[in-house]
Amino acid sequence: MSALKVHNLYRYFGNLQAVNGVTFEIPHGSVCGFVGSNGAGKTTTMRILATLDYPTLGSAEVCGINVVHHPAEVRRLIGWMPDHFGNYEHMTVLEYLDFYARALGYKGKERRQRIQEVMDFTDLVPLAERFSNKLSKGMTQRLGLGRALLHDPQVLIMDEPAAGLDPKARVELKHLIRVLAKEGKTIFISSHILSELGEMCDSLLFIDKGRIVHHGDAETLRRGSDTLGGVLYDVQVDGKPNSVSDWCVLQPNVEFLEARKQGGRIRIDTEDPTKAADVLARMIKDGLRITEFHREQRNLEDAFIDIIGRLEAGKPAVAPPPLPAEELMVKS
Amino acid sequence: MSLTHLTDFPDRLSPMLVKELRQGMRAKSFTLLFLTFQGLLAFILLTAGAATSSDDAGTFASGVIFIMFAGAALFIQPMRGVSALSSEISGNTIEMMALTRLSAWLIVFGKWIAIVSQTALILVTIIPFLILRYFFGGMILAGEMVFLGLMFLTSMALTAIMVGLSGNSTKLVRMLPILGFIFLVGYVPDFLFRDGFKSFMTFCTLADSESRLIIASYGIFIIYIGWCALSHGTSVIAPISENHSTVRRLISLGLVIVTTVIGLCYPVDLNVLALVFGIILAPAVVTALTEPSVLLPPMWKPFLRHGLIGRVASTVLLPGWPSGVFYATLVLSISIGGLSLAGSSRSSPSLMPENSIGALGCIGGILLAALLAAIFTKQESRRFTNFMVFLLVSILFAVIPMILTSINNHEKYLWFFIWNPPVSLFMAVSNGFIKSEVLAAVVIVDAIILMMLLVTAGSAFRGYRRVIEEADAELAKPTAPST
Repeated sequence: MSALKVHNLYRYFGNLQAVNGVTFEIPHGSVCGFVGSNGAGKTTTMRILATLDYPTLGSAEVCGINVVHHPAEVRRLIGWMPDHFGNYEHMTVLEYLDFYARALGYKGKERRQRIQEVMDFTDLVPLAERFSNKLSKGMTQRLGLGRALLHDPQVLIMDEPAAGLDPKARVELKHLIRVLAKEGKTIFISSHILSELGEMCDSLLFIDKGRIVHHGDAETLRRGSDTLGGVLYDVQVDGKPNSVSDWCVLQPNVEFLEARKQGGRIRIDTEDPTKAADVLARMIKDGLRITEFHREQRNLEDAFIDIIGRLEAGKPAVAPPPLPAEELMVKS
Repeated sequence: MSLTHLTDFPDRLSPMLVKELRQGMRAKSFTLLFLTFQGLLAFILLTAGAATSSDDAGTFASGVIFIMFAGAALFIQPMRGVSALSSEISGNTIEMMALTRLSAWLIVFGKWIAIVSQTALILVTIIPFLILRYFFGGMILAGEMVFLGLMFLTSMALTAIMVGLSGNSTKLVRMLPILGFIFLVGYVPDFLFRDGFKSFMTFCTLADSESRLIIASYGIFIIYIGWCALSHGTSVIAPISENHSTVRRLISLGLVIVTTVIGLCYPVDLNVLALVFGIILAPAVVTALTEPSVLLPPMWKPFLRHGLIGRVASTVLLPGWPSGVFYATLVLSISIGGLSLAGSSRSSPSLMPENSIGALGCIGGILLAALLAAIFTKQESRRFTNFMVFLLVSILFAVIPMILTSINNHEKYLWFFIWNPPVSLFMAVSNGFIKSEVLAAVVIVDAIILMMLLVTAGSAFRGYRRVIEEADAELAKPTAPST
């Protein structure tokens, strides 16, 4: 059973189609990054999963429980961290957590113990007596995370938790998410900072105009092809560096892009690895003394732009095949 | 780090009350009010005691205490609730609370009870001043205590209204109760003390059955209004899947039926009976006609479980304005039918035509605003706000022609505006109209508006079909998965 399962989800706001047939599954214990531009449908999808909104059509389940039919049960399983939330005036960090712990039904010693654990985990102890509305953005996010963890949820849904954080606070947040992932929590996290998601997440889910355009791991994306389906290789030779560019002129399907110290970057217009092997074999056969031949990894931002570019060009969006759920589970 | 001070409030207290008290007791708006109140009372009473002749000193002291307490309890404290829910909504904290075990009702109730507790604290602190006032003599102890209690009760209701409306997105709607405060300040003291302060205090001693009945009725009325307001606020902040309207409608329906039975069994003045119906119906009908029309399977399922009866009941009890229209039609029919039956079955004083026109004018005004809100509302969350705006506009469209025609002495021209039912309120009190004609006209106008509203609601109700099918399918499954 998946931790999160969304099937053919639609959400309309009047004439606006915010979510347009979204389908995905996230296995237990994995960290999934949710990526998309502003207005792509990330927050709406996350809010539906958090039982704060409802789908116009389709279904969403958390640990096998339908969010529309059994919202109260789902709420016990999830921790929700919205993209922004206000803190209370005249209320200390300790009182803030105490309020939510009481609201979650904790009583007496158990309540105090739970607050202590969460404050230790999020390093909020030095801020305990500070008024919650006087915290910095980073501290506020830690407080928000602490609140979301009070009832020890199985699934954590975080909408843009790193937005507006300084680099130090971002590193701290990343560390906390890694620790939570190691504890076996399922984390569904949206962000604009793709490189960070790539480091943290087992899989990435790209959404554009309310549709899922890619679901796979970061590694697959980095190895993926460009907008036109080509793949970049770095070729180094022993001997004349321009021998690579000279060789490429005569080759169909191979394009020389850029000279480098001992060779250059070439583009092979197919993703098929056997074709790359053929190109390498031909190079060797034609007398090029190859010292290095490796596929270049793209950064995730480029990969995202490529996927969106493909869509806009009317080509199939999903270049690399998505990893099966079992494989993701093994990785995590 | 010491967590011991987290035991300052016992576990059995509502978390919301604990939060609000922790915040509220530190808020400047309360501490300043509290200290200023104490200081001013002490200063004024001591100086007044020294300066005023002994005969007047007691009455003067009571006046000072009541005026100051009235200012604090009937204005300042309720006003503190003006942004009680909107601040939580804008701060995105209401959703985080909704994900806990706190129900929307507990959130609203906690907000309200925290302000009321602070008002009670102010009430308790004036006791020493009342003892001081006792030494001046001439105190009607029971009457003045009851009067303070009534003020406190009124403060509770006003606070409930402010808190209940504070969840609305538009400031205009949140500030509407201020019009009520202006009415309170301008009209009520004049009404209460028209025979003098002492006379009213004597009335408050509850010496005769009439005063007991009036004050008990006032208490019930104020509790009902307060509950309606809090219930409205609950609906505004509740997650969309929670149904708070069915219980609310059932309670109001029950009250209407009980009132009808009392009206039929006892010789109650029909004008009083109509007033009671008005008090019960106004909040119930307005809320029913302005609920968002979003239906989710969890709302429909409880009706489904009751088979045919449930399905029939859902027509008037499902949340949302479309069923609200049918509900309003039902309760209005019961009330009007009850009044007609009571009027025909005995020789008690019949309903005055002015009152009949007034009641139908008010009903028509509400129905017209609901019809316009049904047609023009695109965002469900703004339905109540739109309703209030349309209601204010329709009142304005009645007041302006009334002023213009009375200035020019051409009141007959008001007939051109009879399509706007509030106009009939002015026609009812004017001598220039035959009351039976106005009554017939307002009945026709109300009937046309109601018919249009029923057609609109019927069309919207059909949109629920998909949700009903989905709930049917879900209920057909054996059991919900356990956590």
